Amino acid sequence: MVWATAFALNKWLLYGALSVVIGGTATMLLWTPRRDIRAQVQAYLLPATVAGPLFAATGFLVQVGTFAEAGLPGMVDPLYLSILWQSPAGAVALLQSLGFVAALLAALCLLRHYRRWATALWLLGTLLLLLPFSWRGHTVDASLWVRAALSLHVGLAAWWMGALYPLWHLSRHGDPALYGDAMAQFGQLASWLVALLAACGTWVLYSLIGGFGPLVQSGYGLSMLLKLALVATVLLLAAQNKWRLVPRLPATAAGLSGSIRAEMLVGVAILLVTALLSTLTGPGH
Amino acid sequence: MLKLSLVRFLAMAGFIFSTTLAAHTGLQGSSPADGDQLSQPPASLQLNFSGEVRLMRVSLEEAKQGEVKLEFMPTAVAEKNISLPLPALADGEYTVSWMAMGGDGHKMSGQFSFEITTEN
Repeated sequence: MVWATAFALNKWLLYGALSVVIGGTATMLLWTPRRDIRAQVQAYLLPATVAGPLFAATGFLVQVGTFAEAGLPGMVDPLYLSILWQSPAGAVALLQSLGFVAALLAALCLLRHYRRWATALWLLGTLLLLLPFSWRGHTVDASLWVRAALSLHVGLAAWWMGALYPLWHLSRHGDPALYGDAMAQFGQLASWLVALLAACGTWVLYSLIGGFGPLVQSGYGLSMLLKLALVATVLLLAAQNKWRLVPRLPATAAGLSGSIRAEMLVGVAILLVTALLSTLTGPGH
Repeated sequence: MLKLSLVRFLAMAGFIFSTTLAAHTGLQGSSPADGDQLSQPPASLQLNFSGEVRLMRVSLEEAKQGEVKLEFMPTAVAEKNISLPLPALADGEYTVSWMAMGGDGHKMSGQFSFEITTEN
């Protein structure tokens, strides 16, 4: 249980770094004013791209320790290191690390304002980071479509969660007359992408538990309801931003900033619940 | 206030998730099977899983004599049906404990017992 909890918490941090590089980079490419990019890349993207491979490596070593069953020294047991490296766990750690390296290069290109290179490297990094979700974990035996839907779900969620910090920064330090358009464009795009995110999530959940009845009949289902309650909260906040606060800018600038901050906090809680759900329990419970 | 809310949330999450690890792929059958009473010592131990697993650890223990040494070395190869040669086993009550990595990467483990009684 200790190893599983450590793995879940590491996964939570990894989800955070993944969200920053996917959503943060996209938002900086699309809406962050040129003068603000350098500071945000240094404060937000670069730390995540450096921490990401460390979380990927730690996650791998924690799994080695889990199977070696020899305490902390078991994390570097040569036999189990070799076995885990040849298993999907090794491939996942490698892909994730390469994804974060591509994201690091994208961040460096952003610093130099090489936007095309940054976009291409961001796309490559995103692909590498999302691939492992399709062939590891609870959906490993599901159809290719369900596994692809899970990767898309993760990618869209990461895009949304990672976009919040740059948007919050914009709402605090920008001129409402100028950033209003960026917020409106984000809201427009998000309404489609969040609908797709919810549809993919619903489909994956339906496939995993074989219907919606088990949501209230199993421990896993009840845990999932906690995540769904948090998701409903973040959706309400997003709806409030899109339909009430953004159209009334600049009068609602302070309210919008507070609402995005609340979205970020609920988002962090959603990532934690997701990490715990996918590690400590499963559809069979 | 925020700190208190976070602590409450973590406490609640900890409570909800304090279940054991899910066994996503399971041991479907074995030879000897759980509860078997054998009149002849088995020459091998067979473990049949519902999906491909990487068997990481297996041990055999006799109730009075303790652990029986097995020729087992974990490998990276995933298999559904695993057979291990057994040494000559004396009469006694044996417990097999196993631990494996399921196809989804999760840890799974279990144990079962059998008895050998050759003297009548």
